[in-house]
Amino acid sequence: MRLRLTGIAATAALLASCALNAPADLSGMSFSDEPLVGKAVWHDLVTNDLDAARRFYGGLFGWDLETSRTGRGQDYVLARDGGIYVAGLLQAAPRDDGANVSRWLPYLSVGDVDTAVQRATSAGGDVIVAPRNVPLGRVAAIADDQGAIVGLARSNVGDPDDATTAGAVGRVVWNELVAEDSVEAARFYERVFGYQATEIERRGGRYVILGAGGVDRAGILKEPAPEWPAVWLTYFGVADPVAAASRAEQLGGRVLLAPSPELREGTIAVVEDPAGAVLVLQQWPK
Amino acid sequence: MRHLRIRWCLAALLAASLMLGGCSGNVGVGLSIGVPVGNHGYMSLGTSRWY
Repeated sequence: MRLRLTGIAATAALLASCALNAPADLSGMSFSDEPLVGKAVWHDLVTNDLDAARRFYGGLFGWDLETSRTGRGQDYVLARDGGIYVAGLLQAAPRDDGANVSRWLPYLSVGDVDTAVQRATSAGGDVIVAPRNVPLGRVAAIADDQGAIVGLARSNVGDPDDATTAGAVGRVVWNELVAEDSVEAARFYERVFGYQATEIERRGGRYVILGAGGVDRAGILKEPAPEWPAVWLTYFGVADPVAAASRAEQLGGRVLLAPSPELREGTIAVVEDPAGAVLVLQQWPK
Repeated sequence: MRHLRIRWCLAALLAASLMLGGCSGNVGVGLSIGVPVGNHGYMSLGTSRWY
């Protein structure tokens, strides 16, 4: 009898924890029938300071923040801009060495997560989080052959279509890999995600566009300096990069690169949030 | 009778919890990636090479 009552209590506790979460209202979003392979369909901020992230991103982008929970019972904050869910914010597990793990992490759509992870390891990548099921569907995270970490996702409900995720102020407008060797990186992503990589010339240098299904999905920038870490950068639309960078500082962030004529004609700013995650503020519309 | 009622309650609670599943519906992922990031301070270098 005690066992049964314990079971009831445990289930009730689970329900109570989930009851904190109002069901996500997806009525403002529309989804594809088939995966939009290669598209960044979700973005998570993994942060060492979730409270600071709430204040920073709420203040910078005006997002509505809804506290939810991951399947493992961690706080998980869903960020919504109007009727569109833009991103999730979650507290990182602390490390013994105190190293900072705060980062923005895009999830790229794949047809089959397990198969894509196998392709990634065959191409020289590493598994960071093995494939697993989450509310969205099936996901994993890998490090590419140059060490940049990216997520993979196959959604249960289809991917948010391009009308839903159209660029706007306060929303993700671009994803960019910074790689030591952009040509090698392009080969890796072609092989794992099926992109068509196109190298273009612009601003006197070379840039790689990763396309899929005739749509430009992401870019690859050769690291501007040898000391740079390999990293995926998430670009967010802002009306005025100068004002947005200033606001980021007021909210406890740090400006790494202020807008200047030499930096893509003053259209971007690169900032750190209070916990050290990097993001790019992109003037929008361009 | 009492046992039956308890079993029914357990089954109902279990079914409800399974329906709620991951709690946030079909939105979000929430993987905690515990890999340190590099030194972002270097991002102040190479301003002119943002092609």
